[in-house]
Amino acid sequence: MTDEIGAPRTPPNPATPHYAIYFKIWGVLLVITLLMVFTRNPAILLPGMAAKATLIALWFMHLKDERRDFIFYIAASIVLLSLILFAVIVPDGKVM
Amino acid sequence: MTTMAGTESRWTGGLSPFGMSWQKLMMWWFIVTDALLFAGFLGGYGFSRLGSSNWPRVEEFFSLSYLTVMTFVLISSSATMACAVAAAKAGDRVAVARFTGLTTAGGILFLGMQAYEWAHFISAGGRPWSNPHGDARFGSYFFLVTGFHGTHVLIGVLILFVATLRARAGRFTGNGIEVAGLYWHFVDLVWVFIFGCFYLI
Repeated sequence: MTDEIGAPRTPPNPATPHYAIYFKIWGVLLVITLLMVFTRNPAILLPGMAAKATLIALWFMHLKDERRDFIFYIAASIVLLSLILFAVIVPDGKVM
Repeated sequence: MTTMAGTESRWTGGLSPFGMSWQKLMMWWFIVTDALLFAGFLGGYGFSRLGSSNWPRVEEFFSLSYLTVMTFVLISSSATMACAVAAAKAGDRVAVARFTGLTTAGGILFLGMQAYEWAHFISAGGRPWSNPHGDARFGSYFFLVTGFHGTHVLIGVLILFVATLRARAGRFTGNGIEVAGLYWHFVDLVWVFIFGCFYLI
């Protein structure tokens, strides 16, 4: 391994990495996907998409391990602006 | 220089805002802007669909089973990417190369399936400017959104292919693999909404 300018100089963890949690998340994502495909019910689809995105962001992208203020910036910028878009602007399509 | 203790406190202009590398922070900002780009695409799609009286029923010309397998491939590649990041943090060169290689293979498989999907839709008369199954705008949105996503996958495959070669040679950093992983997971995250909005709702 080589060092990089700007990267926190944390030494590699010599312990064996644990992969089990990622395969558990993978299993949950598949179950939610199958549930969404077989029901195709908006009451399942919207929470299903939100749940999958949350699992990917928190565990796969390790957002849960970041500082709280950083999590807030990311969540506020993406979730809040997307909510404004989909809750305020998109419904106007009905009357156009 | 900022000490490790300094990176844990609120950023005051040091080298590591939010206690992370600049590469990782820049990737997160890119993800924010790219997420809003896709949100705009899907918002436009929803706007047009709500105002349309003849929006096509996608199950009449797309196979949901096939699309579910595509989703399975992408989710699986995201899981192997998460394992690659864990292996890189542990300094396990062989495992990093194996997992990034598997992720690359998953990305290539997804792209191949996407190409087949496009060919199928084109052979059924779908064009970016027309669509024999209903509202012409469906064709525009389909090629625009899945095309943009597919381009992201292609870029990710190229990045991961290089990462795999570098890992095999022992020339990788935990930080570099983590940043590549963030990009790949984002590609998976966007597909969650494309799959849901285009094919399921």
